[in-house]
Amino acid sequence: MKNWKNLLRLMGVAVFCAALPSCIEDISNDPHYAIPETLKGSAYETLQEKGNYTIFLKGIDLVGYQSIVDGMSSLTVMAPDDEAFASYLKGRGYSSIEEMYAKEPNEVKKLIGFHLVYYGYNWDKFVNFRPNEGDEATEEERMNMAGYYYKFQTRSSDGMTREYDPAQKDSVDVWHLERFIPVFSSKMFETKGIDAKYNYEYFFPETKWTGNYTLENKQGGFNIANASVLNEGDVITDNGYLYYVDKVIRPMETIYTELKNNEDYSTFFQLYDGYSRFEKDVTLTTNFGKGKDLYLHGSTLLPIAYEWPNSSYRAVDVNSREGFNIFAPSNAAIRNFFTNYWTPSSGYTSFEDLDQLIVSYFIQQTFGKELFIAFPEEIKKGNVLTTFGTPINIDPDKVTWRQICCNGVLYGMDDMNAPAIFSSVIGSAFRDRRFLPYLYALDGSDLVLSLASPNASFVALIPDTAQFKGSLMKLENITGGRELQVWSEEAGAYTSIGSNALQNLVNMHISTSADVLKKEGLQVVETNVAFNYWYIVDGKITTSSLFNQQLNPTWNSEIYFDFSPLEFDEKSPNGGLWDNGRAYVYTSPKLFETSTGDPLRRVLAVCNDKSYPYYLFSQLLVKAGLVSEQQLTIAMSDARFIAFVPSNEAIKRGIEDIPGCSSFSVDDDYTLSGTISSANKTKLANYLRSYFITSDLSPFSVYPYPGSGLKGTFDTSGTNKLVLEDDGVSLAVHFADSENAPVTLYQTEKYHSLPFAYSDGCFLLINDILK
Amino acid sequence: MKRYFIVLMVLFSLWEGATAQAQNKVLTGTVVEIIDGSKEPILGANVVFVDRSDRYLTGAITDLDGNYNLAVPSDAGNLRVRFSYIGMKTQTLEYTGQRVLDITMSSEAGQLDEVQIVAKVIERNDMGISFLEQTSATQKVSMSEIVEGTPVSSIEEALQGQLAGVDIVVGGDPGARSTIRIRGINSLNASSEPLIVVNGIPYSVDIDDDFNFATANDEDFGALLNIAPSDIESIEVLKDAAATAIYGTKGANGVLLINTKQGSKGKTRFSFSTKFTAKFEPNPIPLLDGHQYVSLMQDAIWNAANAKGLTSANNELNLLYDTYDINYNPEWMYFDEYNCDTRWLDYVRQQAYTTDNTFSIDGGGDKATYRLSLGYLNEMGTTVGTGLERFNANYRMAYDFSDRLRMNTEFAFTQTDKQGNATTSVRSEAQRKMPNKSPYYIDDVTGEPLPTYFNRQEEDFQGAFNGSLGGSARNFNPVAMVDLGFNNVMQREERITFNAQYLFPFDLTYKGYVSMNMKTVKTRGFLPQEATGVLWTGNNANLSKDAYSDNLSLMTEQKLLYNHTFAEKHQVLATGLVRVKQNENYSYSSFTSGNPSSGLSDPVAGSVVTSAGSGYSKTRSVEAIGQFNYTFDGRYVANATINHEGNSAMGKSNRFATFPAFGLAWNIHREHWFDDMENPWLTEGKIRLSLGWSGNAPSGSSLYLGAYQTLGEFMNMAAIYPVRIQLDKLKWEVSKEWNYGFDIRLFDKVGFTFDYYDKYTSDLLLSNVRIPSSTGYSTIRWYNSGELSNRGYEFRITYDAINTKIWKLNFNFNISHNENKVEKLPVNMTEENYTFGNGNYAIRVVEGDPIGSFYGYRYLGVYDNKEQTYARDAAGNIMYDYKGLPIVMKNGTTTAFPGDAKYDDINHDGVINEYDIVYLGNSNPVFTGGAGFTLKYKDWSLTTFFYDRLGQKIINTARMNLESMYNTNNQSTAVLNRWRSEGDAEHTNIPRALYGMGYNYLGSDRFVEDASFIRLKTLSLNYNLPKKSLEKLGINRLQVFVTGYDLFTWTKYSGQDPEVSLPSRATALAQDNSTSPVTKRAAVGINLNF
Repeated sequence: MKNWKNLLRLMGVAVFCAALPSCIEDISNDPHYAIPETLKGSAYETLQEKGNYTIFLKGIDLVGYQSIVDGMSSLTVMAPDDEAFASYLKGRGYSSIEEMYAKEPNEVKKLIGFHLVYYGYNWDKFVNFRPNEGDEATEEERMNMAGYYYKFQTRSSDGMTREYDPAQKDSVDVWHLERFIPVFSSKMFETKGIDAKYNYEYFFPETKWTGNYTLENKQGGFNIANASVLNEGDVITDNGYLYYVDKVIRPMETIYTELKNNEDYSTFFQLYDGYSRFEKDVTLTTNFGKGKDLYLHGSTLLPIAYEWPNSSYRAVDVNSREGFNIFAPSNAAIRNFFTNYWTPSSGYTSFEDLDQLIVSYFIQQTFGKELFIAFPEEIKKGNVLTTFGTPINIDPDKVTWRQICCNGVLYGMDDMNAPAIFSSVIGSAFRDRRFLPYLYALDGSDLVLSLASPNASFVALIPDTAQFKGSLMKLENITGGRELQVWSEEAGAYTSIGSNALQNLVNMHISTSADVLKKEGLQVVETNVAFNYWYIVDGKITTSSLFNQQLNPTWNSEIYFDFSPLEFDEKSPNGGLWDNGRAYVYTSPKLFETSTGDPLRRVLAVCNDKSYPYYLFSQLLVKAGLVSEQQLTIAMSDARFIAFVPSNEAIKRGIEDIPGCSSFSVDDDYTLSGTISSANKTKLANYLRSYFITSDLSPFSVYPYPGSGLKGTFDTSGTNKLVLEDDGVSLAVHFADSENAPVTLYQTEKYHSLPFAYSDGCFLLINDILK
Repeated sequence: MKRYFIVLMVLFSLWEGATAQAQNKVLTGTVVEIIDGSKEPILGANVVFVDRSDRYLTGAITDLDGNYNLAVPSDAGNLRVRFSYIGMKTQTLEYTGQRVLDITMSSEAGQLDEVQIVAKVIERNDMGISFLEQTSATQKVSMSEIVEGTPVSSIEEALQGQLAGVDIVVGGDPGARSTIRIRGINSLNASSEPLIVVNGIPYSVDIDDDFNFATANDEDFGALLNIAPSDIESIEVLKDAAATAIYGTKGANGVLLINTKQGSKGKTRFSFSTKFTAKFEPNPIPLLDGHQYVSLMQDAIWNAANAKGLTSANNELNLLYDTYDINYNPEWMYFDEYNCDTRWLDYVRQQAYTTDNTFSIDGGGDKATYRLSLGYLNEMGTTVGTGLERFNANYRMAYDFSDRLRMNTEFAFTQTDKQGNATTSVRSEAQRKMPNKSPYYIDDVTGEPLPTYFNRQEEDFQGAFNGSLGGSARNFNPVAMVDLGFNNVMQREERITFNAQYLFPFDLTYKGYVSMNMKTVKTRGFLPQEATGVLWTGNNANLSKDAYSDNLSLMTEQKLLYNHTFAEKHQVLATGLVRVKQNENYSYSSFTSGNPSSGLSDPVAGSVVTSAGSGYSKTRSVEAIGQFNYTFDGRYVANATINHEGNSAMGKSNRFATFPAFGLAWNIHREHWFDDMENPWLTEGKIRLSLGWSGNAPSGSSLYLGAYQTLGEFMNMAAIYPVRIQLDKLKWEVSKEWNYGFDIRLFDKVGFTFDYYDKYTSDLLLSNVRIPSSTGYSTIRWYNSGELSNRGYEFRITYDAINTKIWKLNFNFNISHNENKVEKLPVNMTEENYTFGNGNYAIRVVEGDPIGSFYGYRYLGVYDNKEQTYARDAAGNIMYDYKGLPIVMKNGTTTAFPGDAKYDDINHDGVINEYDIVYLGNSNPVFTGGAGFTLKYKDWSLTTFFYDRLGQKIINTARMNLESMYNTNNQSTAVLNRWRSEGDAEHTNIPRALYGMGYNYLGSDRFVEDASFIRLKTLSLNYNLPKKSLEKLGINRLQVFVTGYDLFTWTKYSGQDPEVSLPSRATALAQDNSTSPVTKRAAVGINLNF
């Protein structure tokens, strides 16, 4: 009995022992850590509760997005109700979403994903998203480009596709980025100053514009792609926002895919596709490759195959605002245009003949300049330009194909005019095979756009293949295309030409200062290279650089060449002259070049040949100590200068009158003899300095020639001021305080009162010394 | 049972007989006792020859048949034979040359009176002073009661709440260091830890400031009191300066006197106890699951990106769109590994058990007593990979060479193996770790975890590994870390003490000891690459640590005591002592990386030595102390102590200092007016007053020395330059303490003790004080300046409510209050820099305020809408700018938006910045104390003990970090209630999630919480099995107990546990960083004596 008692006591101890752990408090019961009852529920839960969204929820389940819609991710969900969904499915010939999923699982994934926008966008953000300023945007800032950031990244993607890469001559795995969905807000149309209803319904005729509906205290409304938002507005959920929409939102494809899938545009598509480029993406390969290399589908032209205008996820402002505007000609339109523009005489007989560069310009003419969506009303107003700055000349109401894509807008046209660039002053470069090197020079100089501008007028010399050859330049095939190259003695081979050199080349052949090249008389034409001129004398043309060669008594090559205008054939699409100027060909065996060789400082400093017309002037400069013996240049400031150089005869004649030259004498053969004291040296130097106008003391933008407009009183480096007179036919010069008659220019048959232009200045020979 | 231990007893007798010499004459005989009328031989009885001065000459022990053979010393005259046996009356007979001497011994039962006299032997302390003669504040607890029913693994744990004025905060991990503060914080930079004295010998616990090589951290080398609680007899705390004076300046922060058990005369006793304890860790703060976490991260990052403007938010965009760790994309290669729901904490926590076994033998005779104890403790930590294993052996032997000379030897050996994790931040890492990540690779086909740890770190959402072995670290796989990594500390300690006492004539006594303490600490650590995911070529790849330190501490004390009573009434007690101490430390450490495994981590083969270091230090101190105590008629006591002490850490001008102490006491109950009372109501009554000065020296060796460093070459000559200033005038930090107290015991039932103290510390020691660079130095190592005071009182009550044979009930209660105050700011105290930023509290030492004060912002909740964010003037009206637009509040530099934290704009300037900081409270408890009762009914007893700390405030940093929503750390489920849209402020004060920006968790009163608590520390039920049934088994006592430990805590504190460890630096903030919380434990065990 006692043992029983003891046992009972022990059991008592055991029960006490067992009861101890149960005394432990549980912090998870603390209301501070409890799941609050005030939570609104996830988007998924909200839709479940709402009840009428079963098909959409089923779709979410089928494609595996249940966890993210149900709280794991922050999302903005566009939810179409069962009625809308059933109607969509019916339209595609399905009775249920399960059926569609069974047949087209990827399509369902794309479709559902397109209704899920990354992260939470409330009503205000959809109306006027501010990616740059953020929440702190002031009212003033919010007015800037209000509604322009209208596209939002969804979870809809094509994933990986296999495509042929011409460069590798093999198929590659191409990764597709997630689509953006456009939200057209009333703010956007308001900012653009266009009618929302017309412009929205232009693209979505089956959907009513309800974007003018707005919530209390909000600044506008919106339609989401092809759907209207129902009246509940932005429904707040625990994981973002929810919008009830009246239609299933169709996933948008890229412009590239749309073109690819439309047979009527196969020519344009093929032309574009020639510029496709596949780039391996290391990050994507690491993250998603699972052993395969992944590529992105780019292009050397506009990358319309990219889902995003900018492939970086960081470029939110770009991707949410920008898109491509493509004005694509249909096969018929292209056919029509070709036969009008390229004739057999120009060297091109079919599209395949065309050089790649020409095609690329042709295609780029179909791209809108602005990367913001172009609406029809804006086109009508002429506010939409091509890449080259010319207005898109179409009637939007006649556009046969209108498509908003995930990366831009597509206008499909059955008719097309000659693009502005093709009918500009450099049009021949596109049109005529002879001028192909010139086209490459233009392309490399990046001057095509400015030369095609309708707002300016040009005179262009168009050099042909032979002239390029004469200058040791030719087209060479390189990886990815062709290139204009020049022979390099140093390298012993043809090498690339830098864009500066090409700009010089092109500018030396272009002038904006003249309207026409005269067939008679004397004409000085300023080229687009500063202080380089074309001199036209009696229907022949030369350059200021070639003109200088006449000073050299031993020079015996041609200086002047014939030139002739280059015009459209009768069949020119726009008819008549080039749109913005005149084009000429010239007969020089080589290209016209800018002045090269010794600068004028050196030319005047080192003349030891008595047969040069400025020999004695050079000698006086030496005597006056104005020549730096070390550098063999005139000791003057670095500024550009104009020198008036008395001819040898003039100096010989007036040597005694030249200050400080009393001890000098000049022989008949112009030999200068005698010595000079240091006092005289100073006198002489001061005197000679008065023959120089320097741009630091008297700024000038042209060299003086008859009619140049450069005249009046100028400070010189010396003590005297110079007065330059120009009556439009001839020039004369004198010291400002001199009462002597002005000295006229030294006239010979060769020199035509024209300046000898060098890179650092020019000189004019005059008939007498200045007194 | 006795027979089984005969061999042991014989061995002792042989030892005792070492002084015996070979003799020709032999005395033989038989020793018997009468049991039930028949003679029964006594085994093991002690038979010795003693001379006239009671000096032992030869001795023997009786055999199984009670026979003995005893050699007769050559000097046969004046000899006596003494027979003794435990429990028997000792008999001494004149030796008259007998050859045979038989004797019958009788039981001691009839000697009760004498025994009672022995029991009333006045207990005297080391200085020979009895309780009655004391004038200072002390308190003594007997450990046996605390420890027997309570499974504690450390003394600190056992003492918590038991001692008034002693504030102990224990840590949750096995072997974690506890904080002990006696009567508050007394120093800003010097140590505030009390001195621990074991059996009269100061025990070295402090870590020198110059002990700083790479491996050192508090826990590795920390002052674990390597003494098993079961070996402790009693603990006494000396609180006031007068009481601690005899321990020199080391005792300035209070002294804990620990006396270990020793052998006592009597039969050999064996005792065995075993305890089995299960630990129950409180449930952790609930954290977000994988889904909730991803959702929160996206929300937080998205909010931040929008606040900045997306185009300026590169990092956020990267996280939002290109970091698939939190961005659902089934095509991603690690999709499976990042779409889990991992409760990381559950992987690193474990159910833990502790077993504690102790065994001891003790006994002794007239000449010698002994005690041998062995103990083995195996404690598991609640964090996987942590634990503590301790083996200890203690042998004490006292031998009376004569009535005058007594020698005492003690040998103690302890080995503690502490298993720790390779980084100290395993739990915090597990807490912050993204819960959507898997600890293991997932099989793509089956979806099941593979056995390989998933340690992807590069481009990881939570970054790459950052940290060190043995220290704190971030971004690793905590599961792999606890499974494969370790940082184990093996500490072996041997303590040998020789004690001698000699009674000179004329009441003069000599006491002295030599004590050696050898401590060896070996640390081995391994940081597994599987956990860190670092490159194999990196320094942290399979990093292994090997460190060793050796400490030898030598101490001697020579003491002369004089105790004489003149004319029966004038008792004089004078003591003089000299104490010398030397401490030597050697250390070595090496780190190697690229080891193939933890087992193959030899620094000389196949690995790269990344760093190595060694150190040596030596300190000495000498103190000379004199004490004089005069008692008149047992009623009036006067006491004076003087301590002259030198320390090698001090500058030469002040190396030696003198600290006096005085005390007065009046034993009221000894007054003669009580003499006539038959039952005086006042059993005990005493009024005390004491005043004492004490010093505090910086720790370390030769700190005063200036130092030079080589400059390489200067102007083609070798050059040096001074880097440390010579501190010849460095002074002791001096505190002066008044103590007033009384002890009263009424009707021999109720006891009261009250103490009031006033401690004033001046010449505060400040370390690394910045000085003008014009001096040529940037800091001065130590500097004396500033004054600090601690005032407070302590109150204790004990009440023996019922005391009958069947029922016993007693209560005890203690409470103490301490007020700390900065009296005078140090002259060039460098205010800790306050940086405006989240989580930062201003650390200020303000004259008149206590140390440990919090300064920060006043939190007002969350802005719910745009209008609420408008700044308001003092009258509450919206303020407008010059354009007439309302001014929006700014938190620092960022504009406030709906959902952001709202703070009190104290100065109404529309900006929350440091000018809005206010005092928020402090971490000093208003009251600390304990209370309990013991109820006994027959063989049952129920013991409870409550511990409380009231009125202290704590910064709940753990909650702050779990609700900040500022970084990638996982958060508590409280953030589910965060502000998300307008209207939410009605039901939440948690701001919106905002990643890496904004000021939504500035140091404010939102996280300063009242951490007052009352805790049921122990609830223990004991049952002593009935003696009668045990006696048959030869068992004296068998006690079974079950104890619950830390079962209930009454607190409003929202963290896991309000008992938060205090910072080691006085000026640091007391904050809850969520280390392992104190676990609740249930123990069951038995105590067996036979």
